[in-house]
Amino acid sequence: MQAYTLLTGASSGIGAAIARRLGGERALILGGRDASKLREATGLGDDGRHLLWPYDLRDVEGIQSSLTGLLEQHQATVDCFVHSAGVVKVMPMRLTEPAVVQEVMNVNVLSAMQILRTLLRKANHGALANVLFISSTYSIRGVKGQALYAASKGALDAMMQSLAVELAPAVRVNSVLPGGVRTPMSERAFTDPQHLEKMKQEYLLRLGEVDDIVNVVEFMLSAKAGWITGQKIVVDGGQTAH
Amino acid sequence: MDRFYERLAEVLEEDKVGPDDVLASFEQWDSLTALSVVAMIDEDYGVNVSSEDLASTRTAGALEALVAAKRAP
Repeated sequence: MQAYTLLTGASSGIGAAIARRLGGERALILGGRDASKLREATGLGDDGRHLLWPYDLRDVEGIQSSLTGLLEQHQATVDCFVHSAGVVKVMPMRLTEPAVVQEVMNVNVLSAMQILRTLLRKANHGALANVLFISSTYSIRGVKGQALYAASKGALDAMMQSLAVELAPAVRVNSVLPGGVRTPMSERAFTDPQHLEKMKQEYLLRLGEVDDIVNVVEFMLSAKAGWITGQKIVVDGGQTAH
Repeated sequence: MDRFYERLAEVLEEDKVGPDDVLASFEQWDSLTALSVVAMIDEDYGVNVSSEDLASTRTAGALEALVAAKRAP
């Protein structure tokens, strides 16, 4: 059986950058809504080494059967799970309709639960050893218009902490909390001159890049992080230090 | 673009919005509502309106014209 690292949200932003970095050394299962976008964003998936899992995580009900099917079909197990899939909806609370709340919670939180439920069952042969959630500093600081997204990331972090206790010592479970780095999700903030100026003041070291996050993800998945579990690792150029 | 005004009315919680209405005159108009209007325009029309664009747009009609201009090839 081949052990894989399962990465959700692999077709854009931080997820795609993680895929490109890790693809050389690890066999990956690349999760994303669209197979061609996954191939395009990562440059992976056609060499037989990596697997594609085209699946829309908004449909949480079907996750277990889809993922179990994929593992069985390829005689695969998953030893690392990185949940990078996420959607953001910036809006005042008065406009947060139940359907929008459900979509954000499904993709950002509930899908991770269903994936883990699958990976902790017999179908994965006890292979799981490392879980990493890509959270956000919005889970630990207040930002106008981000209540829904913040709630989803806060839920992810709280789940992480309890899971770290539940699954130790076999599985390490942690979150990485990135500050704002330039991705398609945050593009608007980086192209708005007023917002850009504000960010330059807030990020003490410099504006962040996707690689700043990927470096820490790589470390957290490595044996060098072997004594870290249940932690929220903030990577934000000092933004939350003041 | 009747749909444009309907969607604007939804975000602003108004019964009706017309081209001559001044955006800043609406009770619910604030920075976050402006951001929601930007998101609505992006979602419905695939057009990126910056906060600077919006700050220099006085009426709903001017905003509609801006969206139309940005959509033009």
